[in-house]
Amino acid sequence: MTAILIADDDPDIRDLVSFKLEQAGFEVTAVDNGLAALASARESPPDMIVLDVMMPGMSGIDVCRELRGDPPTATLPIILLTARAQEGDVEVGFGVGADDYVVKPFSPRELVSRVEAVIARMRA
Amino acid sequence: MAALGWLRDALHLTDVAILTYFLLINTSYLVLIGLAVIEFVHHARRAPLSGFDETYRSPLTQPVSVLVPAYNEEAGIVESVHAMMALRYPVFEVVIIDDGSTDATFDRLAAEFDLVEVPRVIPRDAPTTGEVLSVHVPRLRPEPLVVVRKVNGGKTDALNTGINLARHPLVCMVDADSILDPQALLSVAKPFADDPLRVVAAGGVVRIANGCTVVAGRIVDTRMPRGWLPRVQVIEYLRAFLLGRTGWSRLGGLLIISGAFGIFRRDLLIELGGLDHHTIGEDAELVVRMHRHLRRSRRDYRIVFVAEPVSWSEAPSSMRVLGRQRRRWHRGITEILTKHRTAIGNPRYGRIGLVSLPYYLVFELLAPFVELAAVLLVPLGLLAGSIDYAFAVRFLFVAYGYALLINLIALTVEEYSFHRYSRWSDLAAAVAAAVLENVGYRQLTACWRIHGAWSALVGSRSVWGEMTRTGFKGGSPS
Amino acid sequence: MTVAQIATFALSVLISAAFVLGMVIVVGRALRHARNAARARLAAPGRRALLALAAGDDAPDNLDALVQLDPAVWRAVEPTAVALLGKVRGEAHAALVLAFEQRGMGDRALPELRARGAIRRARAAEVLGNLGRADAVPGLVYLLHDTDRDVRTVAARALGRIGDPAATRALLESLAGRHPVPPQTVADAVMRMGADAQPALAAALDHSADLVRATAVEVLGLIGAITVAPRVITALSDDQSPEVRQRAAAALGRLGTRSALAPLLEAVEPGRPPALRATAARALGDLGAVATAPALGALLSDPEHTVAHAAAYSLLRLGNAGRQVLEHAAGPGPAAGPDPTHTAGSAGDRAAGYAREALARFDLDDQRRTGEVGATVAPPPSPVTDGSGPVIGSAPTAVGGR
Repeated sequence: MTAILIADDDPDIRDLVSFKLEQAGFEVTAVDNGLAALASARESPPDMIVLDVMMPGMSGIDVCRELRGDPPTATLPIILLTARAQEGDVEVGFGVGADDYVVKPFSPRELVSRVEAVIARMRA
Repeated sequence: MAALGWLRDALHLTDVAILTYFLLINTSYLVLIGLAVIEFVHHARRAPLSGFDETYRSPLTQPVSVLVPAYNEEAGIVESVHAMMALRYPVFEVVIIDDGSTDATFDRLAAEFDLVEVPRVIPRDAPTTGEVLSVHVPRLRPEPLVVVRKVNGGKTDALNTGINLARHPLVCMVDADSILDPQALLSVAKPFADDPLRVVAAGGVVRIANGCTVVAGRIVDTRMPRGWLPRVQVIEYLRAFLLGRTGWSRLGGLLIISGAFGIFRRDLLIELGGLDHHTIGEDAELVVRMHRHLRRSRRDYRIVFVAEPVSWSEAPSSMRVLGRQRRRWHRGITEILTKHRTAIGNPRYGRIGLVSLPYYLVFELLAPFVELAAVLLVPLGLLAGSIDYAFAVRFLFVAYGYALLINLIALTVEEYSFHRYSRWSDLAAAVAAAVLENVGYRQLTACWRIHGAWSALVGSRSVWGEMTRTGFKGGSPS
Repeated sequence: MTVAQIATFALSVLISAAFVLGMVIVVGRALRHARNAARARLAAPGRRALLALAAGDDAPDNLDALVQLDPAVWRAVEPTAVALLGKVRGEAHAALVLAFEQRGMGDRALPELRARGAIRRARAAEVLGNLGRADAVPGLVYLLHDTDRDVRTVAARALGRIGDPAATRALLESLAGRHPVPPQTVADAVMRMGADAQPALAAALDHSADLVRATAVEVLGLIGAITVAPRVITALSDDQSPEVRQRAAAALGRLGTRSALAPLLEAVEPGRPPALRATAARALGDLGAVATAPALGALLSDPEHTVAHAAAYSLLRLGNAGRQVLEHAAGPGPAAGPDPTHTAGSAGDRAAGYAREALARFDLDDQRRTGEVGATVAPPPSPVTDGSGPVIGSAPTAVGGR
């Protein structure tokens, strides 16, 4: 089963996304801050990560950068989730190597299709 | 014999005056706490309706330049900057002003962010003395960070340089070692969005970080510190800063905003000529000057105090550092009140002139003098027979018992509004600290404060003291 | 009274007060813990159904489960449900709104708009805004003149969320008067109305209050109302208020029409207020017309810092022509490396300083574009924006927008 790591400090979003992804057949691990996400990703690398950008501790951008800098996690598919969508933010997000960028408020169904698309792209 | 009798009467009068003084000051705290409670209740009921999300998403929210003066902050500067960059705010820049540090402050920043030097034209809007040596930005990361290196000139000079470099209409001054709440900028910038024509400055609650668990620049768990000195300071901060300032704000007489975190309109700062190089309490002096300037020009303005925690500071945990801090603070107050003495009691300055400034003169500036006088003259009066034991007991109650009561009330209010200290052991420590504050701590700080006032009057050279930093990595040792 | 009596009295007051306060804290804390635990326990079953609904699950049982929840359980779950409303969109959002409506939240909130307490009015307005109730618009418009500031603000925000353009005029009017609504809230709300708000905004350009005109012209720029550009140009040249003129300049930059070139070039001339000149210089950068390069180049030696700075950065956005002007002004060679110049010194020196700063910025941006890990090679964002705010991504996958 494909393993997904979700990191978001908002418990509602965390539970919502976990629920939706589990329903879609994925195995989900949920953490609530950037440092935990980094630790979990390094310890048992998932098949893809969904990261909230604004988190206490390390932001999603920093986590993404760290992961891309580390050989074992450098090609891990990463989707960034954020409430902020000004032009510069998208550039920064893609600039640190994220594979996709979803803006809140988001459609859970669309998120799942993006996740599946990214995974399919990686597997191709 | 007649002379002795006269002396005895004089002593009696003095002791009565001292008793009245304590009665008044403690009652004033009670009033301020009452006002603060009203403000908290009002704020709590309306908080869910404040629309922070909208402010965050709006393209119209004014950008902020966060100014961070740094002198020998190598221990925690990198983490501090990371945390500031992760603040929740739509558009902002972080400007670090390296005021001629002699340690690795700049080197650590340069290594971490891969800084590269860039040419920059700097306007001379605010007066500065220390020359700017170079301006740096991250080479590859597009994040809005600017690091300025300049010749040492003191905190005021660093801030004025920062004001000159700032690109945005709002300027937020932050201490390099402050730990900020992720929502801090949104909280203090929101008053400007709600009332753009009047709001000129805003500040928020500053709390003590000692003992709290700090993870990557964020407070994760609030605990009472381990040492007794910081513990007592927590109580002090609760009473004087959290509740006292909120109360004053509700009264419309907020005199000063904490220098650890304050946000101002840049154009007004330039109009005022920046911060004053010759005062040691430059942040407080700025706000007093702002009040006077705006009242003189008869402008309708508001200085807002946001009743939410925005910033956490490390309190001194050794006597030496605490002493230096209190001397500096009191010296600052003395210098400010001396500089602005024509405004004290002056109805031209409204509530600030008629209420706030006189209050600060009598109940803040003179407080340590009365404190020590009490310790000396009351026992003396007892010995001389000017006062009887009944009076002495009454005095003890009014001066110290009443004060202890005020502390306990402050603790209760904190419990109800913020309930940050969730452990019972923390509560017990807080109560013990509340008692300790009155039994020794107050008298000690009184000595330091008198020394500070004396330095101001004598006019010795000011020193921006250094605090030994341990940096914030995991639980902060105290 | 004797010493002992006073002492006893004082001590007893102290001890009893301490005791009372202690009790207050302890009891308060216990109550709060109990209440939170009870709420969490109650909410557990409801939360699952809520999440399932919010996850966009089409199964009708979820909706029914939520609708038929016990009122006590619903009360415990309601805050989460309201919070989720702001975090999801699409079918999930529609499903949540349906659940709220079927539980009667909207119908209950409507009469509350006229409730006695300000907090109740404000809460009702917030709920109706979240639910997108078009029938609440008249009631909300009335609340724009409420005596309580929070009620006015929430009402304006709710009108923005509902998005009925008919409320635009009322929103703009609420900027002036004895009980005004914060301008940013009004502007945000009107922006959400989109293109349908244009007529009302254009009409507001003739309003007597400066703030109304200023806000209207700013929003017109942000929503990209190109057809109204001539009116904005008139505002730039003829309006009495400097604030309106300044915002008109910024708006023209966002609108991006060529007809704005001449008026903007006039607005940067010396003798105008510096704020207006700087904004106009920036707007010329937004327009990106190569023909303006010489005029902007002349501004590099302007004594006003904000104007020269804006001119330098605008030249960056004019492509090669702009860069040539900058290189010419920067003078021979990069000299002894970058060094922060101050605004004192000769005009030529000053111009060189600004030019060098802008060129260095260009080099840096270039480096960042090509030197970053995993960056897609995308063209820089085009200077003519569509003005509606959120992203038109420069990367292959479309970004979830509004």
